Amino acid sequence: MTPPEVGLIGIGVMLILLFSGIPIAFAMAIVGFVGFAYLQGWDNALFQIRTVPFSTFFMSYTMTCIPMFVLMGELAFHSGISEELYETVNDWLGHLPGGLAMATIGACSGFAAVCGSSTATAATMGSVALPEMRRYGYSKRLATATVAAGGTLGILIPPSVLMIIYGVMTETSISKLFIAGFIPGILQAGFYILTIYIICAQNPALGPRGPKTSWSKKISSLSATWPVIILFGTVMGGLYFGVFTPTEAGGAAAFASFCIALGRRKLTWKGLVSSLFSTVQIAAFLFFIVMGATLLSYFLAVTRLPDMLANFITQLGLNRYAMMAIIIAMYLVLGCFMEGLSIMLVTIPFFLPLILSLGYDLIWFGIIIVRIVEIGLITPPVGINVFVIKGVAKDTSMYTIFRGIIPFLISDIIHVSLLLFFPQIALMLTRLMM
Amino acid sequence: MLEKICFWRDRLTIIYHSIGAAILIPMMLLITADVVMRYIFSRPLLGSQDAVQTMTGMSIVFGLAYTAVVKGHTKVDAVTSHLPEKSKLILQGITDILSFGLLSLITWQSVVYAKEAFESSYVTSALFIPFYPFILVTTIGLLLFCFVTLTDFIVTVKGAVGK
Repeated sequence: MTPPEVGLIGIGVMLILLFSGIPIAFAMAIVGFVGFAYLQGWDNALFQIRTVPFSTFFMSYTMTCIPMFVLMGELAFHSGISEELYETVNDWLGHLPGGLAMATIGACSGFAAVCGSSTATAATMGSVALPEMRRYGYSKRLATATVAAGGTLGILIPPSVLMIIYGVMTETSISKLFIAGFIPGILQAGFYILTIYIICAQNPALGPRGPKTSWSKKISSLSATWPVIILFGTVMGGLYFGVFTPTEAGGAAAFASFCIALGRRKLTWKGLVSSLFSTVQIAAFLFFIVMGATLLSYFLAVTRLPDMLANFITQLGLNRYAMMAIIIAMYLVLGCFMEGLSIMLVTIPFFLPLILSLGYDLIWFGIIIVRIVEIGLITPPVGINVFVIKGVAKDTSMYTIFRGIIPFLISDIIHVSLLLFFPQIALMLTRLMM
Repeated sequence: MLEKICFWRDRLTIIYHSIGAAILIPMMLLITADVVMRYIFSRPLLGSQDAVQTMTGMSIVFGLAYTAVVKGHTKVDAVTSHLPEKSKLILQGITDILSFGLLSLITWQSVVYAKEAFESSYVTSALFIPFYPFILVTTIGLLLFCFVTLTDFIVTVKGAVGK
């Protein structure tokens, strides 16, 4: 068998393993190890599994920022930032038709700015916003879909765990990825708010107006936003002006989050322990999955499959936009069945040579990938954010939530098209970086 | 007997996980102190990068086993969730034993690597700390992870046989 044939069989076996329910890291590592052993010999494969775990866990300085950013988000969550953010945005937008849903999107954006995970954003805001929307008679469809879609902002608005992993895999600047995600993230939130406005303009009964708030209350409610401003400012300001490396930004922001939580007297011993426990758990699973992806990528490299795929697609003679459309379509299909991180880890080694040969900017491609993965979080049948919201809103059917998501998906398609045709939306801030 | 083993296994993984969690606090303080010392006193802390990498690694390896106990290692269950209970258990038994096999190999190689590092005096780049104790720590973390997958396999087999 030729190496590319072995590579194709390996990919097939990996997909079977993935869908058989084995943890993703194991599926990638087993195929990577066995495939490498077949092509390069048992001793070389043993050398890989001897060194890769240790180098992944102990020798990647870039990845050390992951536990710090996760810790920042966990501490922010335990200090009650999410509830106060929601109340503030609600004071400003709650009186509009669909205002509570718009406030949910606003609060999701704010929480996303201190949290790098979409499922965490959806779960947190779901528990805060859903009861409130229910209280004001919002339709279940609009309320649940808003939180599920709003939660996806977690991985586009920096800091973002997915961007860190992408940066490590493609050796692109994590600072630039974070900066590049800012404007698309804000734009996405704007699109969602517009979507809610249109839905409620057509049928006001779906999202009745909340009570009006006086201007003095509106102004005073802004004081609740200072923790987010400080944390987001520390990370983004530090990265933008070249003061921090991503690890330093993560460490400093985690420390700031810790001080804010202590200063507000919201952090209990139980909350601190829970934050630290969750952080280690998330970091352990992420590092282990990167270890599996590294073993897989070594195997793929010796099969030469990624280069052959790049050559094959280039020889098709399609223009670069058509090729990008094909890639995006593949990601959208995969997003319906697989979780975002695993899609990225499995596909990046394949697509990287192709993207480079097409002359696309890797920072821009990173934003597009993260954006597409976000869409996968709310598309059936495996829309993880929908499962999360279903866990909070037990009396709402999956069908109802997915139906409610359709307008948000339309808005997503328009948003992604804008990012595709106007790369400067993502790249303009990175070009001004110091 | 198996229940007792699982009980003590879970206890042990929680202790490990707690150590991994506790490491995060000095790590956060060290990074912040390094930034402050560099920008305010123009005196960066020597070897802080080595120390942060080492602390991250320790935290991860101490957390691997407990993450497995709470089923925190992500999997795709789009297909398996629709299978009958018995088929699900059989499939899980196969995936458990595959995971155990791979982890056993990695753990064994980790011991070999620790020996190599000890004999050839591998050290970190700035502080010249020997690597082998950390490779041994990795081995211990992996060993416990291995034990978790093995007990999971036995529990699954017991469950499948009982059906």
